[in-house]
Amino acid sequence: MNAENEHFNELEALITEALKEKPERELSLTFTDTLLRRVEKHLTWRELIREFAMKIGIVAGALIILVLCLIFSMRESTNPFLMMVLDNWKLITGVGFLILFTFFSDQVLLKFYTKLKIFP
Amino acid sequence: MDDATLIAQVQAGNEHANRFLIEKYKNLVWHLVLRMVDQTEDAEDLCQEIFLRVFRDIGKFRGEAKLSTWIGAIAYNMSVTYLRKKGKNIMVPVDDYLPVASGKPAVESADEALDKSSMKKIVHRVIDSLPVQYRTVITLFYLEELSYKEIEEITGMPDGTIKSYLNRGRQAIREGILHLVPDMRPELSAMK
Repeated sequence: MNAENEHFNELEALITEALKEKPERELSLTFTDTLLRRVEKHLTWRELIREFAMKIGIVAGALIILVLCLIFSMRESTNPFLMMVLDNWKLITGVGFLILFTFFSDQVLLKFYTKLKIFP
Repeated sequence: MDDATLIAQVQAGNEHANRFLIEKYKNLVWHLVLRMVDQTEDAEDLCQEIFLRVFRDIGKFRGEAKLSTWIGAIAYNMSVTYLRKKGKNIMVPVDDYLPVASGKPAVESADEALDKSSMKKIVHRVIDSLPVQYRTVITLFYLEELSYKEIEEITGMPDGTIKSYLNRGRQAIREGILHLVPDMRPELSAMK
Protein backbone atom coordinates (compact mmCIF):
# COMPACT_ATOMS: atom_id res chain seq x y z
CA MET A 1 0.00 0.00 0.00
CA ASN A 2 2.82 2.38 0.94
CA ALA A 3 4.76 1.48 -2.18
CA GLU A 4 1.70 2.19 -4.30
CA ASN A 5 1.28 5.57 -2.64
CA GLU A 6 4.89 6.31 -3.29
CA HIS A 7 4.49 5.44 -6.98
CA PHE A 8 1.43 7.61 -7.17
CA ASN A 9 3.20 10.57 -5.54
CA GLU A 10 6.15 10.21 -7.86
CA LEU A 11 3.87 10.20 -10.86
CA GLU A 12 2.04 13.27 -9.55
CA ALA A 13 5.32 15.10 -8.95
CA LEU A 14 6.51 14.22 -12.43
CA ILE A 15 3.27 15.42 -14.02
CA THR A 16 3.44 18.72 -12.13
CA GLU A 17 7.06 19.20 -13.15
CA ALA A 18 6.25 18.47 -16.78
CA LEU A 19 3.24 20.80 -16.74
CA LYS A 20 5.38 23.66 -15.46
CA GLU A 21 7.97 23.10 -18.15
CA LYS A 22 8.16 25.60 -21.01
CA PRO A 23 7.45 24.19 -24.48
CA GLU A 24 10.51 23.26 -26.48
CA ARG A 25 9.45 25.34 -29.43
CA GLU A 26 10.27 29.01 -28.93
CA LEU A 27 9.39 32.21 -30.70
CA SER A 28 11.82 33.17 -33.43
CA LEU A 29 14.60 35.55 -32.43
CA THR A 30 13.33 38.19 -34.84
CA PHE A 31 9.79 38.12 -33.43
CA THR A 32 10.02 41.37 -31.43
CA ASP A 33 11.78 43.34 -34.17
CA THR A 34 9.38 42.15 -36.87
CA LEU A 35 6.43 42.97 -34.66
CA LEU A 36 7.77 46.43 -33.78
CA ARG A 37 8.15 47.23 -37.48
CA ARG A 38 4.54 46.15 -38.08
CA VAL A 39 3.35 48.19 -35.11
CA GLU A 40 5.22 51.26 -36.38
CA LYS A 41 3.72 50.81 -39.84
CA HIS A 42 0.25 50.37 -38.39
CA LEU A 43 0.51 53.40 -36.06
CA THR A 44 1.99 55.62 -38.79
CA TRP A 45 -0.79 54.72 -41.21
CA ARG A 46 -3.47 55.34 -38.58
CA GLU A 47 -1.96 58.70 -37.65
CA LEU A 48 -1.72 59.84 -41.29
CA ILE A 49 -5.29 58.78 -42.03
CA ARG A 50 -6.52 60.66 -38.96
CA GLU A 51 -4.65 63.82 -40.00
CA PHE A 52 -5.96 63.48 -43.55
CA ALA A 53 -9.54 63.03 -42.35
CA MET A 54 -9.24 66.15 -40.19
CA LYS A 55 -7.87 68.23 -43.07
CA ILE A 56 -10.59 66.97 -45.41
CA GLY A 57 -13.17 67.74 -42.76
CA ILE A 58 -11.94 71.32 -42.42
CA VAL A 59 -11.84 71.90 -46.20
CA ALA A 60 -15.24 70.25 -46.75
CA GLY A 61 -16.76 72.23 -43.91
CA ALA A 62 -15.46 75.51 -45.32
CA LEU A 63 -16.75 74.60 -48.79
CA ILE A 64 -20.20 73.70 -47.49
CA ILE A 65 -20.45 77.02 -45.63
CA LEU A 66 -19.33 78.90 -48.74
CA VAL A 67 -21.86 77.13 -50.98
CA LEU A 68 -24.69 77.69 -48.48
CA CYS A 69 -23.81 81.39 -48.26
CA LEU A 70 -23.87 81.71 -52.04
CA ILE A 71 -27.19 79.90 -52.33
CA PHE A 72 -28.88 81.96 -49.63
CA SER A 73 -27.46 85.29 -50.83
CA MET A 74 -28.93 84.76 -54.28
CA ARG A 75 -32.22 83.10 -53.44
CA GLU A 76 -34.34 86.10 -54.61
CA SER A 77 -33.16 86.01 -58.19
CA THR A 78 -32.58 83.06 -60.49
CA ASN A 79 -29.60 81.42 -58.92
CA PRO A 80 -26.84 81.31 -61.59
CA PHE A 81 -24.40 79.60 -59.21
CA LEU A 82 -26.79 76.76 -58.50
CA MET A 83 -27.58 76.43 -62.19
CA MET A 84 -23.90 76.27 -63.03
CA VAL A 85 -23.32 73.56 -60.42
CA LEU A 86 -26.27 71.52 -61.64
CA ASP A 87 -25.22 71.83 -65.28
CA ASN A 88 -21.64 70.78 -64.62
CA TRP A 89 -21.98 68.33 -61.75
CA LYS A 90 -20.06 65.58 -63.54
CA LEU A 91 -17.10 67.84 -64.21
CA ILE A 92 -17.17 69.27 -60.70
CA THR A 93 -17.33 65.80 -59.13
CA GLY A 94 -14.47 64.57 -61.35
CA VAL A 95 -12.26 67.52 -60.48
CA GLY A 96 -13.15 67.04 -56.81
CA PHE A 97 -12.05 63.40 -56.89
CA LEU A 98 -8.86 64.32 -58.71
CA ILE A 99 -8.00 66.92 -56.09
CA LEU A 100 -8.87 64.48 -53.31
CA PHE A 101 -6.67 61.75 -54.79
CA THR A 102 -3.74 64.14 -55.29
CA PHE A 103 -4.14 65.41 -51.76
CA PHE A 104 -4.34 61.83 -50.42
CA SER A 105 -1.23 60.78 -52.33
CA ASP A 106 0.70 63.77 -51.09
CA GLN A 107 -0.49 63.77 -47.49
CA VAL A 108 -0.80 60.04 -46.80
CA LEU A 109 0.91 57.75 -49.30
CA LEU A 110 4.10 59.73 -49.84
CA LYS A 111 4.48 60.55 -46.15
CA PHE A 112 3.84 56.92 -45.19
CA TYR A 113 6.45 55.48 -47.51
CA THR A 114 8.96 58.21 -46.69
CA LYS A 115 8.54 57.69 -42.95
CA LEU A 116 9.03 53.97 -43.31
CA LYS A 117 12.12 54.70 -45.42
CA ILE A 118 10.73 52.81 -48.39
CA PHE A 119 11.34 55.93 -50.47
CA PRO A 120 14.53 57.86 -49.72
CA MET B 1 7.56 49.68 -14.74
CA ASP B 2 3.95 49.30 -13.54
CA ASP B 3 1.02 48.70 -15.89
CA ALA B 4 -0.32 52.27 -15.80
CA THR B 5 3.05 53.80 -16.65
CA LEU B 6 3.65 51.25 -19.37
CA ILE B 7 0.27 51.94 -20.98
CA ALA B 8 0.81 55.69 -20.81
CA GLN B 9 4.20 55.31 -22.48
CA VAL B 10 2.82 53.01 -25.19
CA GLN B 11 0.01 55.46 -25.90
CA ALA B 12 2.56 58.26 -26.13
CA GLY B 13 4.25 56.28 -28.90
CA ASN B 14 7.41 55.42 -26.98
CA GLU B 15 9.12 52.68 -28.98
CA HIS B 16 11.05 51.42 -25.95
CA ALA B 17 7.75 50.97 -24.11
CA ASN B 18 6.37 49.02 -27.08
CA ARG B 19 9.40 46.75 -26.99
CA PHE B 20 9.12 46.36 -23.21
CA LEU B 21 5.45 45.40 -23.47
CA ILE B 22 6.17 42.77 -26.12
CA GLU B 23 9.09 41.31 -24.19
CA LYS B 24 7.10 41.22 -20.97
CA TYR B 25 4.05 39.45 -22.33
CA LYS B 26 5.27 37.50 -25.36
CA ASN B 27 5.75 34.27 -23.41
CA LEU B 28 2.23 34.39 -21.98
CA VAL B 29 0.78 34.88 -25.46
CA TRP B 30 3.10 32.35 -27.08
CA HIS B 31 2.45 29.58 -24.57
CA LEU B 32 -1.30 30.09 -24.74
CA VAL B 33 -1.43 30.22 -28.54
CA LEU B 34 0.96 27.32 -28.99
CA ARG B 35 -1.13 25.06 -26.78
CA MET B 36 -4.42 26.20 -28.28
CA VAL B 37 -3.63 26.06 -31.98
CA ASP B 38 -1.87 22.71 -31.78
CA GLN B 39 1.64 23.87 -32.54
CA THR B 40 0.96 24.72 -36.16
CA GLU B 41 3.13 27.07 -38.14
CA ASP B 42 0.41 29.68 -37.82
CA ALA B 43 1.09 30.15 -34.11
CA GLU B 44 3.73 32.84 -34.54
CA ASP B 45 1.67 34.78 -37.08
CA LEU B 46 -1.27 34.63 -34.72
CA CYS B 47 0.91 36.01 -31.91
CA GLN B 48 1.82 38.96 -34.14
CA GLU B 49 -1.85 39.62 -34.88
CA ILE B 50 -2.65 39.44 -31.17
CA PHE B 51 -0.03 42.05 -30.30
CA LEU B 52 -1.21 44.29 -33.14
CA ARG B 53 -4.71 44.11 -31.62
CA VAL B 54 -3.22 44.91 -28.20
CA PHE B 55 -1.53 48.03 -29.54
CA ARG B 56 -4.63 49.04 -31.47
CA ASP B 57 -6.97 48.64 -28.50
CA ILE B 58 -4.72 49.68 -25.65
CA GLY B 59 -6.63 52.96 -25.38
CA LYS B 60 -9.70 50.94 -24.42
CA PHE B 61 -7.96 49.31 -21.46
CA ARG B 62 -9.64 50.72 -18.36
CA GLY B 63 -7.49 49.05 -15.72
CA GLU B 64 -10.36 46.97 -14.32
CA ALA B 65 -8.22 43.85 -14.73
CA LYS B 66 -4.48 43.37 -14.79
CA LEU B 67 -2.79 44.11 -18.10
CA SER B 68 -1.61 40.49 -18.27
CA THR B 69 -5.16 39.11 -18.05
CA TRP B 70 -6.42 41.67 -20.56
CA ILE B 71 -3.73 40.61 -23.04
CA GLY B 72 -4.39 36.97 -22.18
CA ALA B 73 -8.08 37.44 -22.92
CA ILE B 74 -7.29 38.94 -26.33
CA ALA B 75 -4.95 36.02 -27.06
CA TYR B 76 -7.57 33.51 -25.93
CA ASN B 77 -10.41 35.07 -27.94
CA MET B 78 -8.33 35.43 -31.09
CA SER B 79 -7.15 31.82 -30.79
CA VAL B 80 -10.75 30.67 -30.39
CA THR B 81 -11.72 32.66 -33.50
CA TYR B 82 -8.78 31.14 -35.38
CA LEU B 83 -9.81 27.62 -34.38
CA ARG B 84 -13.44 28.26 -35.37
CA LYS B 85 -12.29 29.51 -38.77
CA LYS B 86 -10.34 26.29 -39.15
CA GLY B 87 -13.53 24.40 -38.36
CA LYS B 88 -12.29 22.93 -35.10
CA ASN B 89 -14.75 22.29 -32.34
CA ILE B 90 -13.27 23.68 -29.17
CA MET B 91 -16.23 23.52 -26.86
CA VAL B 92 -16.05 20.18 -25.14
CA PRO B 93 -18.44 20.11 -22.17
CA VAL B 94 -16.70 18.95 -19.02
CA ASP B 95 -18.85 15.84 -18.73
CA ASP B 96 -18.48 14.86 -22.38
CA TYR B 97 -14.77 14.23 -22.32
CA LEU B 98 -13.68 10.89 -21.00
CA PRO B 99 -10.00 10.69 -20.26
CA VAL B 100 -9.26 7.67 -22.40
CA ALA B 101 -5.81 7.57 -23.90
CA SER B 102 -5.68 6.46 -27.48
CA GLY B 103 -2.98 5.21 -29.77
CA LYS B 104 -0.24 2.71 -29.41
CA PRO B 105 1.95 2.61 -26.34
CA ALA B 106 4.81 5.10 -26.60
CA VAL B 107 7.34 2.60 -25.41
CA GLU B 108 7.29 -1.14 -25.25
CA SER B 109 8.50 -1.33 -21.67
CA ALA B 110 9.03 0.96 -18.74
CA ASP B 111 12.81 0.51 -19.07
CA GLU B 112 12.76 2.89 -22.00
CA ALA B 113 11.01 5.52 -19.96
CA LEU B 114 13.14 5.43 -16.86
CA ASP B 115 14.74 8.81 -17.34
CA LYS B 116 12.78 11.90 -16.49
CA SER B 117 13.19 13.64 -19.84
CA SER B 118 11.57 10.73 -21.69
CA MET B 119 8.77 10.68 -19.20
CA LYS B 120 8.19 14.41 -19.58
CA LYS B 121 8.02 13.98 -23.34
CA ILE B 122 5.34 11.39 -22.81
CA VAL B 123 3.46 13.79 -20.52
CA HIS B 124 3.65 16.50 -23.20
CA ARG B 125 2.36 14.04 -25.79
CA VAL B 126 -0.61 13.28 -23.60
CA ILE B 127 -1.23 17.01 -23.00
CA ASP B 128 -1.21 17.62 -26.76
CA SER B 129 -3.91 15.00 -27.19
CA LEU B 130 -6.29 16.73 -24.74
CA PRO B 131 -9.14 18.96 -25.95
CA VAL B 132 -8.30 22.64 -26.40
CA GLN B 133 -10.13 23.90 -23.32
CA TYR B 134 -8.23 21.49 -21.09
CA ARG B 135 -4.88 22.44 -22.57
CA THR B 136 -5.70 26.12 -22.19
CA VAL B 137 -6.66 25.93 -18.55
CA ILE B 138 -3.74 23.64 -17.71
CA THR B 139 -1.28 25.97 -19.43
CA LEU B 140 -2.58 29.06 -17.69
CA PHE B 141 -2.63 27.38 -14.30
CA TYR B 142 0.62 25.43 -14.28
CA LEU B 143 2.86 27.15 -16.78
CA GLU B 144 1.80 30.76 -16.30
CA GLU B 145 0.90 30.18 -12.64
CA LEU B 146 -2.26 32.26 -12.86
CA SER B 147 -4.98 32.10 -10.21
CA TYR B 148 -8.50 30.74 -10.83
CA LYS B 149 -9.77 34.32 -10.92
CA GLU B 150 -7.24 35.36 -13.54
CA ILE B 151 -8.04 32.29 -15.67
CA GLU B 152 -11.72 33.18 -15.33
CA GLU B 153 -11.00 36.71 -16.57
CA ILE B 154 -9.07 35.41 -19.54
CA THR B 155 -11.33 32.57 -20.67
CA GLY B 156 -14.69 33.67 -19.29
CA MET B 157 -15.18 30.18 -17.83
CA PRO B 158 -16.76 29.94 -14.40
CA ASP B 159 -14.60 29.00 -11.42
CA GLY B 160 -16.15 25.53 -11.13
CA THR B 161 -15.55 24.71 -14.79
CA ILE B 162 -11.90 25.72 -14.51
CA LYS B 163 -11.44 23.43 -11.50
CA SER B 164 -13.20 20.58 -13.32
CA TYR B 165 -11.00 20.99 -16.39
CA LEU B 166 -7.90 20.98 -14.19
CA ASN B 167 -8.93 17.87 -12.27
CA ARG B 168 -10.12 15.96 -15.30
CA GLY B 169 -7.14 17.09 -17.34
CA ARG B 170 -4.77 15.81 -14.70
CA GLN B 171 -6.67 12.58 -14.47
CA ALA B 172 -6.47 12.19 -18.25
CA ILE B 173 -2.73 12.80 -18.19
CA ARG B 174 -2.30 10.22 -15.44
CA GLU B 175 -4.30 7.61 -17.29
CA GLY B 176 -2.64 8.50 -20.58
CA ILE B 177 0.80 7.92 -19.09
CA LEU B 178 -0.17 4.59 -17.63
CA HIS B 179 -1.58 3.61 -21.00
CA LEU B 180 1.42 4.79 -23.01
CA VAL B 181 4.00 3.29 -20.67
CA PRO B 182 3.08 -0.30 -19.94
CA ASP B 183 4.07 -1.72 -16.57
CA MET B 184 5.06 1.69 -15.39
CA ARG B 185 3.63 1.50 -11.96
CA PRO B 186 6.14 -0.95 -10.49
CA GLU B 187 9.03 0.82 -12.15
CA LEU B 188 8.18 4.31 -11.02
CA SER B 189 9.87 3.89 -7.69
CA ALA B 190 13.18 3.23 -9.45
CA MET B 191 12.97 6.51 -11.31
CA LYS B 192 15.11 9.26 -9.87
